[in-house]
Amino acid sequence: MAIASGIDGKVGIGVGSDVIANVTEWTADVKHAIQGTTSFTEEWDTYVKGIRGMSGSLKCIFNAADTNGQAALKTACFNGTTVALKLYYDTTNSVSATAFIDGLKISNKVTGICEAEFNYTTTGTVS
Amino acid sequence: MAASGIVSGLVGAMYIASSPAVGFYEACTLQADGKTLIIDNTVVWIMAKDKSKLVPEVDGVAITVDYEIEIGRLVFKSSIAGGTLYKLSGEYIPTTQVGGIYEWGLDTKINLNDKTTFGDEWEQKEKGVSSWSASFKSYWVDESMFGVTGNTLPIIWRFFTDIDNWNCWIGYGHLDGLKQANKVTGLMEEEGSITGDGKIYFMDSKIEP
Repeated sequence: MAIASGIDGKVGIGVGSDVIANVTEWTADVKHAIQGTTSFTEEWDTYVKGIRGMSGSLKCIFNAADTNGQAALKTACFNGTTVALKLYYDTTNSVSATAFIDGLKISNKVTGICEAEFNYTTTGTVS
Repeated sequence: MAASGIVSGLVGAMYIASSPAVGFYEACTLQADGKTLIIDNTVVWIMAKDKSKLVPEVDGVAITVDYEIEIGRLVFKSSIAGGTLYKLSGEYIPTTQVGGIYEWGLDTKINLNDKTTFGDEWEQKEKGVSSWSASFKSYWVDESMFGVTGNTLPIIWRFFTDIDNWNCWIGYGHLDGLKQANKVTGLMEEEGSITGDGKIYFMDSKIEP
């Protein structure tokens, strides 16, 4: 994978990976709860793997007419159901996960444009 | 009306409940789940969140099953199916645009409970309780928003993404904070915070007359 320009990024949703419209930014924060196994006589910390999880956000220009994208995220948020997310680094490489949409912020200013931020937390394997 | 695409802030707005309440007695349709009763006439969808004002009935007899009040509907705790004619008497609340608003924000949160167990390598989650809150900034116009702080019951709030096409977020909430500020070099301003009471909806069509 070469260096990726942001202009090639996108976010897919669902089994068929419909593209969510008007996404301006996505983030992913993967945490790995490694477990310490350091014991007496060792001089350097040692660890074994633990549970992993991922959360992040999608920032968008709000588009209520994006039926299969932003509207679907909103529905998943309000119904407490999961979505299949695919976060693209470039046109072909991506990270996929099943996620809850556990936060939705809408902001509207007379001097600006209506914006939305969806927060997600994955459940299960991230690949 | 329909859901709008990208919208400029120029078509944003905020509406709140105005007075007086208007009585109604309308037919309703029970949904397939047997628990959700939707008022047929959308004009009266914005009801006072006050059960003492509502009398749901089936075939002329008052329904005694407990329920939650939502926009345009009652959601009963158990099935009320089996009747023929469902009606609801109550009061609806007109809404009016709040003057001077130049910014609003809405924040919806879904609590997740962890259900990760031995053998899992990635965290497993399940849905918990949802909540919403909102805020607004405005140039002070009059004391009406201060008056809202004294309300006992939650009132209706409508946050418009596109007032031209009646696209808005709508829900019951409490005004739980109001800041007012005055500077010799500026305009008198207000900043309010709202805590949601129940579900918030997105609507993309006009419901008033």
